[in-house]
Amino acid sequence: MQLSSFQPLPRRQGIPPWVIWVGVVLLGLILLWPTMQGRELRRMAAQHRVDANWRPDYRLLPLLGLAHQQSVAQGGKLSPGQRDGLWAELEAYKGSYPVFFWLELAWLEARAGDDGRARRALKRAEADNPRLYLAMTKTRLWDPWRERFGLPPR
Amino acid sequence: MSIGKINSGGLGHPVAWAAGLAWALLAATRWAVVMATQEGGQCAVIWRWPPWWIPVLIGVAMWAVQLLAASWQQGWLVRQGVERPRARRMAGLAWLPSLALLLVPLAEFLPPVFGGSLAPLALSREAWPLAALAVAGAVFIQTRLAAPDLIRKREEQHHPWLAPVVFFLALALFAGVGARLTQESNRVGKFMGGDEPQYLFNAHSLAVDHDLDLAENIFLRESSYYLDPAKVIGGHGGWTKDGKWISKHRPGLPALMAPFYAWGLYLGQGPRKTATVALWLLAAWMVTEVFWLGRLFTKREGPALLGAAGAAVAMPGLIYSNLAFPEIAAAAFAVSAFRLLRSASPGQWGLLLLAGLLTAYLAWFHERFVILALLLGLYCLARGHWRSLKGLAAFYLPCMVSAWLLITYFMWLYGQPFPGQEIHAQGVYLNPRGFWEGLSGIWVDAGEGMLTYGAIWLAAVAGLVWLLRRRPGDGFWCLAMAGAVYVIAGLFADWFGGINPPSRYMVAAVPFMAVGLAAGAHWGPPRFMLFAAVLGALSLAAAAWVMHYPSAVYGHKLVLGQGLQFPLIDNLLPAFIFNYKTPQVNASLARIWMLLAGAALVAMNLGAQRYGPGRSLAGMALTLVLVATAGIAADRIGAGVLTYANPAQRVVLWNRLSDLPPGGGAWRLGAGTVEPKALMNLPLPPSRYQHGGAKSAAESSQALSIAAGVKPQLFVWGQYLALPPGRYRATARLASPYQGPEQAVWLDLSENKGKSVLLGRKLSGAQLQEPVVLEFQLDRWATNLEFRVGTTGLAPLTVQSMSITRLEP
Repeated sequence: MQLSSFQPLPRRQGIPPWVIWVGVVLLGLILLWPTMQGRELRRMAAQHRVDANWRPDYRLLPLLGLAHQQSVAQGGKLSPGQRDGLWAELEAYKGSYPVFFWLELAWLEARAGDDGRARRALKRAEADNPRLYLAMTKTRLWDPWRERFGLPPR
Repeated sequence: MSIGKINSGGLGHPVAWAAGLAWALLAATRWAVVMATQEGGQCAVIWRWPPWWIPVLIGVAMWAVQLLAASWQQGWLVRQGVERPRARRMAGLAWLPSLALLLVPLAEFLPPVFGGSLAPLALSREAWPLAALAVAGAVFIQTRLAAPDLIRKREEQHHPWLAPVVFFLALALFAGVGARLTQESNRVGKFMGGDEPQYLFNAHSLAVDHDLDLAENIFLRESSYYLDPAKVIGGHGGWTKDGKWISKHRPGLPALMAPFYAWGLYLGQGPRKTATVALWLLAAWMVTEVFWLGRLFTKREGPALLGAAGAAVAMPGLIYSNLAFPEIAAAAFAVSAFRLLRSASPGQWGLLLLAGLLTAYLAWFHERFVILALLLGLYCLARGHWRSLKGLAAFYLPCMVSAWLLITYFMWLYGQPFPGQEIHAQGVYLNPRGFWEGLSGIWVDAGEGMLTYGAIWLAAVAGLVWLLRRRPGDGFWCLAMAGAVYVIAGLFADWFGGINPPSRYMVAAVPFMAVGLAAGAHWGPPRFMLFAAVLGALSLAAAAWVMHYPSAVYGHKLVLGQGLQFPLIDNLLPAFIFNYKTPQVNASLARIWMLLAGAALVAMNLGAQRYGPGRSLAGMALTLVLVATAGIAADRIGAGVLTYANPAQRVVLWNRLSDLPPGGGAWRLGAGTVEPKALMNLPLPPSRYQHGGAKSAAESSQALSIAAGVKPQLFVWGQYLALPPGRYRATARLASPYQGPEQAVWLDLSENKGKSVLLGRKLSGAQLQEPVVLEFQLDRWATNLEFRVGTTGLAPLTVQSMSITRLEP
């Protein structure tokens, strides 16, 4: 029986929308948190490998990853000791396609300002695989030193 | 009336007794092992039986069960209010379809006697459970139709909790598939096929560098986070003018996977595993969308659940929930956009904006999805959303922005607004071998067919026709979406998807076809559900087999051929991707099965909700005859059901022989001179299992030669057989010019990938003049058994042939 002439006010059931939106934003932030670390994520992933002594035959990979991240973060600065370590690792490397790693090392040396060692690393890369050396020096990463090192134009 | 009369009344009808005989005969003949063989133009079938009392006991037990069921069935009809005499007659007649089961033993016994094709025999031996299921279903349906008052008015239902349940069930299922793949990949090596590493590589670059330039990732070999570090991948890409190495794979999927992938790197876990979580979520979302869309069309939850189950459990949805290809993501985005457009009222800009965003994203998965986006654009107009400018803008604005961005992206990459065909796998888009190959192969190819791996999709297509008949607008647009995916894939030179059965390009059609299952269950006659049950059982079996043997998914193998004694999948179906040399044979085989599929489509669109056991019997018998006829035709055109090329099928036969209780008789049908010796012999061509410095010998394509002076090691290994218990003889034919007393060769039989050696023998040069025979007994199943050959390098060696023979039984 209707006791009042007034219509009942509609009442929203369930969770208020703002709670849902806050939840969605929070979940999104949690999901995106590692991605937001950016290049720091490269360091974290490489450090996990170093800590776990991952694949000793390929330990050069995380070491290069760490050096790459440091170089980017510190404007190219890498201690000579660290670079010497990388050279030693790469000299001892027996795995596949060292050309890529010589190119990476050359890039690290060039960023560190040691043109001589960068040239030496480039020569090692060319000697290992001239085809891939030519192909991979087209990257924009080499643009600042392209002329100085006589690299082929893009 | 006495209780006794009530209980025994149903047994008074002669049809119930005759049906019992059919069921008993079927059951009694199932345990026998059939050995069908041919020599020259003659063939013979040898039936090996267990001791006589076993088939008799099974037959009598089956008959007793059937009579009990018949008795209960009549009582049930009486309890529904059907008058007793009528109930007795209707219950008895409802068993009529069972008489079709008599065709199964007839198909097994008659052809060898009269010299006909043995395809019906092979089909009957392998597919009788489907016939039994179909007949049992027909009896059930007829019984139910005998009490028409029982067919309740179908109510519209809506339980808000059901959609989340569907989502989480699907998520759990896909996580289970992931666990199975992980378990198997740890056993057989990394699973990664086709373009999967490329998509993950892009996800890595997006997660770490926030860009698409892969050069740094190549230099640092960051593919090693999910691949063997010895492998180098270049990202299937090329240089842009500004010196960036950009993949030819679109960034849509990598962008979705990147946050999940990043969590793997962050936690020091395998990022491939965490990236797969994104795929599970996308697949579970797709399944939930199918549920919502099915409920939207039919207003009922039962049929909607059937559609969702089809999308989740049948291949290819089941396996692509774990493969890093953009297909499952495109399926989810497309069906969600479609449902939003269907649900939204004109001017409801929020839903339309969401639909627009999803549609706009489609082409970023792969440019071929532009067609789906265009269709969705047309659907938006057809749904009347043009009436509101705000709604129209909400949908089309994201699409136009996306189109502009995509064109800009393509101009940057290729210097043209749309990529040319040269970037595709074979450098062309349209199939140079003809369109029939892809258009039929997508459905019925032995290695890549949708129906081969998920027969339920036949019922789904039939259901779409029901949708078209009852809701023409919805039916048309669902057919258009599924049809566009099919035609785009079918015309493509690489229609099979490069890797993984069934055809990967059909995944985007899955949700739109799955809605057909809901429509068929709602509007179709009982016959539709009968088809759905049988085809669903077949699909479940195929899915279970692929999950049992998932390593075969990464390679063009006839996965389903491994579990059958007769090469039905291998030889009766077309196998376009394996046999380019005989395209005409494949085309004809495809025609046969496409015709049969067409007949099934028609059958699922006929029928009524009326009691008619006679019609049901006729339909059932016609179905069996049609399948047998198709089998006979395919047997004549193709290699035939007696051409055993796959060792696995002989092993299945040996397994069945091992399971046969000893002491039974043997019947011979057909030619008296033909012996099934070939079935007991498993050739192991040495050239197929050669390793190291072994080379194919000039004298035979199956033989191999090893030069003198090589380091002592194994040169032939890797058959990895699973052999049932029994007695065996391994034979090797070797040859060497050296005939002295020094050891030149050794042979052995090993289990568990060489971990345990069953027996071995060292051979001098003098012992190589005769075939070398090793006899051995297996008291239990042997797994990964190898017959291996090694040489000391003392002299040149030729390995001419190798085989394993099963000795009786």
